[in-house]
Amino acid sequence: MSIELTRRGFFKLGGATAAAAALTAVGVRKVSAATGEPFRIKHTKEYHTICTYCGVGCGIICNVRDGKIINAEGDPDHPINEGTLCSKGSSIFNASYVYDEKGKAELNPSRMTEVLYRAPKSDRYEVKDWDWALTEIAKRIKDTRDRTLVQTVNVGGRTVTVNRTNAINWLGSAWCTGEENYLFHKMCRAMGLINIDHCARL
Amino acid sequence: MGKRQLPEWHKDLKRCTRLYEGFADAAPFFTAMYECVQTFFESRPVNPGPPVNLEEAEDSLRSGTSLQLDLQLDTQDVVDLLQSMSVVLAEANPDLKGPAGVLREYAEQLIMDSPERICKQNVRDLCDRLVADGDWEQDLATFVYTMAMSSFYKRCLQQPAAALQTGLWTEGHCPLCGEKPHTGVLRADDGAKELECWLCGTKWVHTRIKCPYCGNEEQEDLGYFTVEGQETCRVNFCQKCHQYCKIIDGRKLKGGGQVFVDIHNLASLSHDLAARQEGFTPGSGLQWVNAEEMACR
Repeated sequence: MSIELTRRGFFKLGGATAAAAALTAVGVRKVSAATGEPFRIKHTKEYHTICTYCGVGCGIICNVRDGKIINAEGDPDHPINEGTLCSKGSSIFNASYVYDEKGKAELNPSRMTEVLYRAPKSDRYEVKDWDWALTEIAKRIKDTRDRTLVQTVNVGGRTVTVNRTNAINWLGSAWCTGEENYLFHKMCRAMGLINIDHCARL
Repeated sequence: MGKRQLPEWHKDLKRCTRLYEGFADAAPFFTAMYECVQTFFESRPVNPGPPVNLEEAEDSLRSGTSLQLDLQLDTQDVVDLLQSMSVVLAEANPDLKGPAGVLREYAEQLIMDSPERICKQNVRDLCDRLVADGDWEQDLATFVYTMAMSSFYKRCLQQPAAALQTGLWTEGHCPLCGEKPHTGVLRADDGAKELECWLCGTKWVHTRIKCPYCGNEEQEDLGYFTVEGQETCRVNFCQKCHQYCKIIDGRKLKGGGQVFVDIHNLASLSHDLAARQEGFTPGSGLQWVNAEEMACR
């Protein structure tokens, strides 16, 4: 028998290793001292979003627990703001809440969380889904464009092809990326739009 | 004679006793262990690791390839450190005298097996045997393995770890040694998630909403949980690969100073248990939870 086994046998016979040694022997506790049960835990999810205030388009991370936003902070990985937020952006968390006279926060009942549609001459909104809304928007853009498209104009007695419409105005967004805005611009030009602008005003 | 200034890790360890319930009971042991390691290396400086060509390293990091440094350590140094640690173990609790003796004995076996040089895998195998033979529980074996190996790696690789352009690195494992991290920090100044290698201490920024282990960026799959009353530590999890890592929220730490994530990790082992009970496994591969702890719920 090897020396190793003899010595190990000695320790075992001495009862010193009857229970395997664990970190609890040096005071580590992984459960609550009061209850002996695991500690209570709270699950949270993080979501990217873009600040809705100005045209800079800062990145924000929203912390959501039980379906409610509990915190909003600057996104450290966003190339524009690198984790920082201005005073308005820092308080954007409050867009989700209203406060009563005693300062108690409640979920803002006016915050839109679904597609609302008011039909022509109607006095109320209907709840619609996104597929319906996007199809309707696309259909109306095409109808308007087809109805108002000017194919040619006369310039000094000469017929010039223009293929344009003045009936639609496209307002792009500073909250989109440069690549997204490039694609929007190409799409607008392909449809014949000439009134194209966006919201960056800084 | 002037009073000896406390090391930085001591301040953070003291802070952890306030932040994490129950850690005060274990703090004297960890203090003794850190002091033991510090004293050991004061009397026995280690040789720096192999030189790293920083230009080549940069190319490697750009292409997403870790340098995968695996040190060949002096066997006698490693054995002596393990034996010093075994003394602290035995002094911490009389019940640990036997298991500490087993560690010394196993360590001596290392010299017989590899008299000149050993690598971290040899020490890992040793700790695995301690568990397999029923002498040690997994958490104690993981502690001794990580403490011993990181003590060498952090000292040997201090220079390349500091010089490495980690801003080029976007992966979830360590750019220097290739190990997967167990902990990280949300930086106090900008909230960036900075992962830290448990082995060599290299730090690098990793996208906040992204799993470091499987690279998943789907927001619905990712999340974190906190333990009530101990919100400094988040357990980030991925529901795609079912793995977790612990992130210390540096913005919640009062008093400034350096954050020693390995100490925060030891202070928050209850979070590891909670993560395991929630169905997640440690992405680092470091098992800090024992089988019977999982069973008693």
